[in-house]
Amino acid sequence: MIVKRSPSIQIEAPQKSQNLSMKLKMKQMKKKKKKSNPNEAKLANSFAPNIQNLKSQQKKRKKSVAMTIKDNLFNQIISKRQKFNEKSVLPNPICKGKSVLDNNTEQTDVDKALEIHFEEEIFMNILSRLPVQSLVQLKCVSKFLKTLISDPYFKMKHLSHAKNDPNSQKLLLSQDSPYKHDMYTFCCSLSSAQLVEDEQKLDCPLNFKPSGCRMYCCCNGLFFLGVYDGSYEHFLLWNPSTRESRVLPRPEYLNRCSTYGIGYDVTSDDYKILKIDGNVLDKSIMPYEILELKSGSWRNIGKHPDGRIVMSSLWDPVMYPLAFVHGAFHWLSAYQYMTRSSYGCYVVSFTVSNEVYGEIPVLERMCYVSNSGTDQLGISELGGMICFHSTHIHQGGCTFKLWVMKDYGVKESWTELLTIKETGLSSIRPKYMFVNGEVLLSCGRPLQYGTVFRTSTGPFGLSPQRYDTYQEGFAYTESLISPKLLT
Amino acid sequence: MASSTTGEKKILTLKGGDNEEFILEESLVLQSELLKNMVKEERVSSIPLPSIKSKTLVKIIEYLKKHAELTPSNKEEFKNFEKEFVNVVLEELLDITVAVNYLKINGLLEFCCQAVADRIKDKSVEAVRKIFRIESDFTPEEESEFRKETPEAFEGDLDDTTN
Repeated sequence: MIVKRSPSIQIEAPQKSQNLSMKLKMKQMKKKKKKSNPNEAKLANSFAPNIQNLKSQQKKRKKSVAMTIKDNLFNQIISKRQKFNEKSVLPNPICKGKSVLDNNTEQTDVDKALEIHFEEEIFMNILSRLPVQSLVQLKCVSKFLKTLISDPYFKMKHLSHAKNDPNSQKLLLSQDSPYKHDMYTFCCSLSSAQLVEDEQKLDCPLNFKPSGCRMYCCCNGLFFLGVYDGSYEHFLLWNPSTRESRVLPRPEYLNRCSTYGIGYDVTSDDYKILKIDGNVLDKSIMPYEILELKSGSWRNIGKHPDGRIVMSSLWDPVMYPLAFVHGAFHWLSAYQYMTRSSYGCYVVSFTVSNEVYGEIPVLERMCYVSNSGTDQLGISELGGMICFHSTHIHQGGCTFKLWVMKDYGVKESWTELLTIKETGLSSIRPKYMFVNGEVLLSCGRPLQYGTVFRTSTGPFGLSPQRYDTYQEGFAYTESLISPKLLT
Repeated sequence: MASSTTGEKKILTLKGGDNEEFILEESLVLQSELLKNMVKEERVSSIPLPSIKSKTLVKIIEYLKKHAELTPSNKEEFKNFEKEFVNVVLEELLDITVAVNYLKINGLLEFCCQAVADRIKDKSVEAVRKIFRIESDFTPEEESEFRKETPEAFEGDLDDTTN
């Protein structure tokens, strides 16, 4: 049936409902001695709930605007709505959603109002619990849904749900061939420690065929990558879940020990990428650089004030990504390098918002290393905590130890999580902690190419894809966060 | 609960959309932020909830009762009850969710929204349109562009009904 819709309904509805709900309240006070016009009562009945909701929506809207003050898109939505309310000349209300089910004409306004309300508040709540893949598809439902799903406030809400949803935890893996110039990335689910599913190939975002790729770090579903075009390295920020990407400039100073971390800065509502350079010789340490995604360029921040040698791993030439925990980047620094008897190390922190250095102590027994020079130490992020890991190589195998700092910054809270004795493995790194406390580890094999994965208790059922070994893997939370909208 | 400190239980009447009346202890409705404020500020003894179908209201009251009885020892039982609670046809679940959102029963709202999300996550675009009664406002050109770019969005679960 054809539904007649007055173009000014959007203005009238809230006023009408306000008046009517006042009438309703008065009626309540008079204990309903008077019988009102049945039509009006019907309208009042249907509008009554909405007035509260409209109010609370307005409040919420204000709140969310305050929270994401720089979220232009969100402001746009609001100003669009305001404009619409003022002029009411737009041909289609922003929350277009005509009922396709049968309803009688006098109820149309009511349904309209209900739908408006439904779309705004509950849609936000329901949709923010859906997987990224579904949401990318639901953008095709209507303009309103497209706007909602693209809204930065919604994306943050979605992220906070996704972080607690085991099904949104994925492992992004890259493989490349040591013989051919070819690379391949795909993701698999981490929702169970034993079962691997949802393997899917991900497209590389650049328009040339990359010969190789290095994953440097990730945060909130965004990956910072180096992609090789022949021997030239392009830097990218990539969201593999939405397949959006953005090319980033090269840092000014690069060496083979450059390592990176990415973190979200709440105060500026921006992501920052920090680059530090470790090297064996003090004097050759390059300046550190930081890139704020909104500005899109690297800024020199000098060296670590003490000038101490930074190491992600002492003897492993591959640097570990910086651990982003508690609003700060972290890496490992040594008091003295390679003096066997009095060796010690500590964690350097660098806060993302005001860029201040700090130190976090480790227990003496944690950084015990042998004289062989083959042991490895490193830190990373695990379950929202800083973790410290050491691989001690000895005759007949290696011993891997993992510690976590349960209370951030509290030295006494370092807790030994697990010890694994193994043969034939080296360079073991923790990647992810499952809900049941098991830990996913990536391991190198002596004198062999690539990485294998296992859990702290046994094998991890990951079957190799195109090539036999994995180059690298990162655990991440699938998100809608766009690398593009951050400018 | 707070209101029964005098020992005497206060009674409250909720009136559903079809004028059906539900009499229950005031302490039960305090789980709803909206009703709590109404009861505390305006001291009403009867609250009309015209937008909520009686059928929906029955379900919600059932939940309020169960939730009020929740203790550490019957947690499992309550979890099972919650599972059964949302095991209704989708349309009814949506009615409940809208009502719970209006009444501001926060824990239940989270649970209902998650239940709806679980039901629609594999649905196709067409099915979602029907479920939420949304008509596409894209131009035919945009529409066919979507179908070309994300064909999988239109190939999902086409079932727009209940289960």
